[in-house]
Amino acid sequence: MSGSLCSGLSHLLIAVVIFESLAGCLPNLQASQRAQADALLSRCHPPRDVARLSSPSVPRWVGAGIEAGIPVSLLSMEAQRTAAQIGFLDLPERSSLKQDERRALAMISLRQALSNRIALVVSDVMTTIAALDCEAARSDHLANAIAEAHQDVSDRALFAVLASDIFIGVIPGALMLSGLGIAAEASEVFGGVTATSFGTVDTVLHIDQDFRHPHNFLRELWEGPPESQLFPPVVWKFLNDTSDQDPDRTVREVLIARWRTAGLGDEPELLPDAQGHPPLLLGEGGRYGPKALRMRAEMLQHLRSEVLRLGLSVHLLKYELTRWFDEQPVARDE
Amino acid sequence: MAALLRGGLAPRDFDVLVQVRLGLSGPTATGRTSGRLKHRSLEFFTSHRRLSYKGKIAKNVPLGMIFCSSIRPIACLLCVLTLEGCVTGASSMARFRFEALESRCTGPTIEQLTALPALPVLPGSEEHSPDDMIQLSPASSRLAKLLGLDRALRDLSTLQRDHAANTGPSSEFLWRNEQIMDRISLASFDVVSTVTELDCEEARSDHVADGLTELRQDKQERGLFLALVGNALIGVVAGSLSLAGKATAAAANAILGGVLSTGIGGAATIFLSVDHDFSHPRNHLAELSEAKEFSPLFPDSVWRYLTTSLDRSEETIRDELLRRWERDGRLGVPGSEDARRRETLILGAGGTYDIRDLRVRAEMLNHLKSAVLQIGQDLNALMYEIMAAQYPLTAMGEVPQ
Repeated sequence: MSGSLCSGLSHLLIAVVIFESLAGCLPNLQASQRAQADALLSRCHPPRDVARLSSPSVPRWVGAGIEAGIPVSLLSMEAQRTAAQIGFLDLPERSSLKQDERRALAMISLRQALSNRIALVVSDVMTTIAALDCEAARSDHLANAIAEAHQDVSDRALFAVLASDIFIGVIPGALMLSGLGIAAEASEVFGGVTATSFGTVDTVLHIDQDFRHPHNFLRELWEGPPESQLFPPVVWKFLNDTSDQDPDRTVREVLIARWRTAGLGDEPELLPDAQGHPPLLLGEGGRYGPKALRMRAEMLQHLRSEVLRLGLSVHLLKYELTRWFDEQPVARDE
Repeated sequence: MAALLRGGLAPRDFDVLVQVRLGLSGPTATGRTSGRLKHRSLEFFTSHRRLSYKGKIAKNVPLGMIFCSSIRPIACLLCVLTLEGCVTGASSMARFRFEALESRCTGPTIEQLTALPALPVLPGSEEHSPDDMIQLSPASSRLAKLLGLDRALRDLSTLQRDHAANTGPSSEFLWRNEQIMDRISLASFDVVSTVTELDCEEARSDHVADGLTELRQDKQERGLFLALVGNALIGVVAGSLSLAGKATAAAANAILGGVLSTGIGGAATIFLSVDHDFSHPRNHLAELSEAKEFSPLFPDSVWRYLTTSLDRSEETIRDELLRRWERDGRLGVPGSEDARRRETLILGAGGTYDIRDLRVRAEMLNHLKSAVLQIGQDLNALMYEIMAAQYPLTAMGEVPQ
């Protein structure tokens, strides 16, 4: 009798020890420290708000166009559209330059002015893309870190499930061979309960993390103010111009319509809730799970692709302007 | 009916003394016999006649004999699965082995990029006052000085004032303007080429990390399958044996299944690690960790931007990055063994990386890339300010709304 009591106690002790060790193996239900730091403080700088540069002439200049000095209407339709977007004004009454405007220095000056303006637009596009890329990478990095933490917990839980086979197989087997049938069955029941408990961990496990994004490009795009604090003026103008996919809507509206309808499913809601609180993706940040983070990164990538299209259009315009300048006869300066 | 075997048994064929008891209380026959263990029933010959038993094997039968017979097919299955796993693993590794050992991201040499002389001084420009310089924001002013454009911008301002009084831009003005814009454009290319290389290195780390993750997943799936085989031994095989009245074999199978399931399960989950050699002889992170005046990896404009203090705090972008990485524990807890190992690995020429090390490297490169891109934003602002000052009245009009 005392022997079986000792045996029972020793089994119980073994079970407690194994459980303690398994509990010790379970990691913290949080993303890694390195990911948390990146989540709370953005290292991504949005493009500079040129209207707030201390140089007084810039804000006035930004809203102005350049009288291109060339007949813009001679360019292709796409190039004309881009020219209008970046502020090259047409001179419809002029089919070609006047004699005094074809002087070498005037032509060089004009060419420089247009090249510099195009370089500035390309620079605007690149800084916007860099900022969007950086924010998307922040989201992806945190999503990866949460996936890592999730994987760690899942691995340990799975190991615990498989280790429960000690109670279902090894201990009952040994007990059976020793003729302790009831103890063997009790051990099997215990092992089954343990395995089931750990097995459910993966399905109920949800790790999220506070993620801050005070400079929110998605909110800016969603709200569509007349002047953007985040997008350079030329990029903002392009986003609010007619889309080539749908002449009745702007690029911004087409993108938003795509996000509204493209199978959000169980993903985070984009519309404000009943109390009027902005949804997670359009606020300044909050508790993000991996799905919301991936969704944010994807939306930023969509936006990036649209901004890149402006870069491609400017590329085409640059080709057409270069060809036009190269074809012009230049009068010598006196 | 039971067969009691005495003496040693060879794994397969045996030649031993046996005692056979017929019935629960029947007579016992003893004699020397030989035979073969077959399908968990004992088939043997006595010295008088052939007898075949399919009864319960007594407890004193060595377990090794039972295991030998029952796990042989499973052992074969395990061997086949393991071999198959090795083959698949090797083919997955081949995909990123080249990428891990040899970088495809090499940029132009810095000697080529920095072989640019200072801007020539315009005749008579020594007299231009520093106050003549185009009015710039503090960040743009700092960048203009860093790129060596401050004198040229003073010249431009003076030349512009002169030509405003006349009819059009002078050739000196256009020449100076072209020089300034060329320098800005070169600095932009410096940024782009640095970012491209950093981006490429980041992608390289991520690709190998993705490859290792796939490999880990494959190994884990295989391991888990074997662990499930162990579960089958406990449930299906042991249960069937138990129903067939072979309790000892059932218990033995359950023990075997439990050990197999726990052992292989552990190897497939918490003890599973995959790593790969990864080399990076051109290491921008190592370059950043050392304070020096010139860098052989970064273009001069980029390096000077990273190592010049931003404001009166005297902290440079490089200092800020290094401080942030330390605070965030990128390399591990400072002073720990893990931190030393990762520091040697990430700030060296390469070594054996696991998935997490590769992800940390990619993240650090991404941070450095963001820092370099700040120059692009400052260049963008500088261009705005120069152009706004340069073309204020000549050829502009309000954009029609």
